[in-house]
Amino acid sequence: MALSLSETALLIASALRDRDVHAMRKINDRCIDETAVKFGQHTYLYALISYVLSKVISKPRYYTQKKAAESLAKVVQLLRSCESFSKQADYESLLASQNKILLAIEKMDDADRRFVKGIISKGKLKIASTLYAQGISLGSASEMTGTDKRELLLYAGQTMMFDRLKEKKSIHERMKDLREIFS
Amino acid sequence: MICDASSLISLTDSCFIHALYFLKRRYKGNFIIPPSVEYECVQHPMHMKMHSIHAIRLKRAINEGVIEVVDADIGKKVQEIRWTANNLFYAQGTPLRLLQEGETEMLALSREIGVDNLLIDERTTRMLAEDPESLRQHLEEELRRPITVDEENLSSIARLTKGIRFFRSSELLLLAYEKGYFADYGKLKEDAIEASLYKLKYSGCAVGFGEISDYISRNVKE
Repeated sequence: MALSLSETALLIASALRDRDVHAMRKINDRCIDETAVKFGQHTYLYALISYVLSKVISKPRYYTQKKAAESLAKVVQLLRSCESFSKQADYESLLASQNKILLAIEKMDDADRRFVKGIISKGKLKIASTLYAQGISLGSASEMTGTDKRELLLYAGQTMMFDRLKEKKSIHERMKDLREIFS
Repeated sequence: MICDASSLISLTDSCFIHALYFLKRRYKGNFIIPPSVEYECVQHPMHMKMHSIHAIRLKRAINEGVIEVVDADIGKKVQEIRWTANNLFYAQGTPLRLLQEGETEMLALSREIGVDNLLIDERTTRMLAEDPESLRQHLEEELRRPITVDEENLSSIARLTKGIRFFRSSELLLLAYEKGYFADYGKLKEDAIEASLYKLKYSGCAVGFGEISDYISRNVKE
């Protein structure tokens, strides 16, 4: 059954409090599925938040930072605001709080940056790739997540998604047609 | 042949854009892109450190007439195809928003200028036109819920895409291989085309490992 926006905030906060990576990933999966179906910005942002938080709580380099406790407390507080705004159907304030959460996590990532691509960009790419693998087009997945098509193609190319779904028209048949055109 | 952004990205990323030059020199046809693809593949990435070289390669191909930018009045057709495609499958009453404007523009341009050949590496658009039932089943499995079809829109999509032939960059490169594009490799040319197909795959061309190995073993390394 689909989760409501307020329930999602509550579940993310609970998984964060318990440092439960498995639960956080399950929330992430559900949010991605919901994003594919409803194409809603708020659900997508919850997918992104749960993805990056699953990374934060699974990597000591984040939560052993000096200011980590402070930053994570702020995230929990913002998740409470998200829950409350969702209940009030105040979607503009919900969006603002979700963006503040991402900003707080981005700051944690910047404090100990290891890769050119930050944790948020990586999360966007991962979600876009999942949407594309699920059957949403490359352009729609790229549009929803704000990911560049090029990066998404490269990422998808490293996965097995094109082997998991067999296409009706074979490479042999396409070659036959193509030879005809270029004859 | 109308080219989609996805194919041009795969070809430039894997350094095979010259296969277009090679084929263009030997055949009469044109490689066409709409202005939106030029924006996506040239103007937009021109300022991205990681991708600007690909944009420059394509800009050069446009300047040299290998790729032609064709503008047409396709607004209405885009809307019609987009609406139909995005109201085709339903998950518990909610229509799935499958295609974006860029993808529908390719189909609309094809109809408007009467070009039936589309070069597109992106999988969903191709499946929607060629095999919507498999796409429905795939969505159902992936999203773990029943996906229903609007039969009227299914007929409309079939009508709107009737006669379109879809190709991937993998087939285009194979054709170039058959016409001698890899001749300089001498005895290594069979290995070179095989490796090149894998490179295209890793660059995002929607082709399976199985498809490549099957084709190579049956047609290249017999």
